[in-house]
Amino acid sequence: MSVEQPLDNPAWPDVRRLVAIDAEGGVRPTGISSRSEAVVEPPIDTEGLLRRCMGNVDFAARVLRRFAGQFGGDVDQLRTSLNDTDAGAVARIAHRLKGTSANVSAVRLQAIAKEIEDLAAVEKLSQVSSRIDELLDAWSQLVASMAPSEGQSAFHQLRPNGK
Amino acid sequence: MVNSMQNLSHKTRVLVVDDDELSLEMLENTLLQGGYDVTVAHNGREAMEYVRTGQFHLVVSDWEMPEMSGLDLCRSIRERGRSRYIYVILLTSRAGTNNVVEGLSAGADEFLTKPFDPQELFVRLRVGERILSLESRDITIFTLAKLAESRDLETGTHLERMREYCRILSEQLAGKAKFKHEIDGEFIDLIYLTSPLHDIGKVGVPDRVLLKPGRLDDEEMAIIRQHAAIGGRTLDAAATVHPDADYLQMARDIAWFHHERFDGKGYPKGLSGEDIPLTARIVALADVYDALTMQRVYKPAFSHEASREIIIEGRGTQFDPDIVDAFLECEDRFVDVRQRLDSDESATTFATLCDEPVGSAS
Repeated sequence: MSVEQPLDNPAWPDVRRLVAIDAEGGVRPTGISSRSEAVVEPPIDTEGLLRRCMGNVDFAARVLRRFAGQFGGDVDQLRTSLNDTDAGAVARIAHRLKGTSANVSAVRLQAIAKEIEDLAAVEKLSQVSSRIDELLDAWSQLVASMAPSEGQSAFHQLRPNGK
Repeated sequence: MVNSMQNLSHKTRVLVVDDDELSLEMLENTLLQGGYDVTVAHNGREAMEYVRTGQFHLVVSDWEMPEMSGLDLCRSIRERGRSRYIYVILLTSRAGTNNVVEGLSAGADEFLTKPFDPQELFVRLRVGERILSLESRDITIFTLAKLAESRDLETGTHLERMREYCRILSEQLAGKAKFKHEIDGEFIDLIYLTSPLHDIGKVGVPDRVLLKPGRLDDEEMAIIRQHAAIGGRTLDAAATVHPDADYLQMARDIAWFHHERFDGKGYPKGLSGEDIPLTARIVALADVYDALTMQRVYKPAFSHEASREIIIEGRGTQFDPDIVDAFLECEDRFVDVRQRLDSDESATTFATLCDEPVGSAS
């Protein structure tokens, strides 16, 4: 199972996936209704990500691209360490992945990375492989959730020069 | 002058240490937007190079890093054991008492859970800034006290008595409804610390006047009276650059206005009544009481009773009547201080006494 790479598309992630315009014209994180009611759990907690990015949508997009650039390498290292049955390395890489996932509020990835770290800590490496598959599946969902959507959004029209 | 001093004002510098570029970039972005001057290091060793420059006193470091962990960085910083304190915040996803104990033992001051929350980060940094500012405060006051002492013709115990009298008066006033909202424990600590700086402006008075053994003529009197404004303006410049340093504002008020009189006939500005800062009104009485009760080259030491009568005569003219009343309510404590410190002429200089933490000298 290969790691989906979204960075070939310069429009990924689509910032319109991070924020939306509500009925009153206010800008709010996606996934949160104008009455602050949670909808379904999205691959990214956009509210948390934007809070950590001090509300800067462009910075959030840049952070997500950097995360995407690191993710494949981390998974490759996980696999290599697993093949070497190096539990310490698996735990260390999973810990790092847990941290970076948490930083970008990729909640599902964070949870799976924690499971891998915990398994490696007790040297249950036989269960790690399936978790890596889950990790890749969650990653694909995240990539898709941030994929550019069709058409211009109201949000883009708000921004100078449409940039 | 003030404008050029204001240019010295700078952003608080923070050193951020993390081996993960993504975390580093997010921390840097947050801190820049929070108004901090940020320098990043990618590992503990690089961080130690920055620390050795002596320019960083706030450090935010990841715990887990290859080669040199956040814990090792803390230990290295503490092993240096010199210069100003360095406040270290460790970022960690570790939980549990054992980890907290391990981190504190290594020398961490504070922990921040990953992923960090910007507002929590700012709060933790403000705590660090506050602690560092207290250290700066004590160094500043110590330095200024040494300077004041160099121009003080009396023994070091004059300044020590002064601050004791100020503390006693403040404590007495704190029990009165009129002052309870203005005088609290911090006020009392600060007046104890800063009252010895009341004559700091004497550094600007020429020796031929300050050290003249005989009576001063009118011109010389005018020169020596300038010490209040000199000290006030100097401390005001410092207080303007550091508006959060409340001790500088208090020291400025004391230095500038402790020769004002309640009836408006004092100097340098001729302020009257409650236009004179409360701290200066307190110091004014303490300073006069000490001058009266101690021997000077031009006068013998007056008894407590004689000094008391002179102060009562000045009630409402030279002194704030509320402060005179407070003095009369606690005059026994004044006598105790005078007897204790007067008999202790072997007492070292005031600056040495400054080594004691606030509240320990009683």
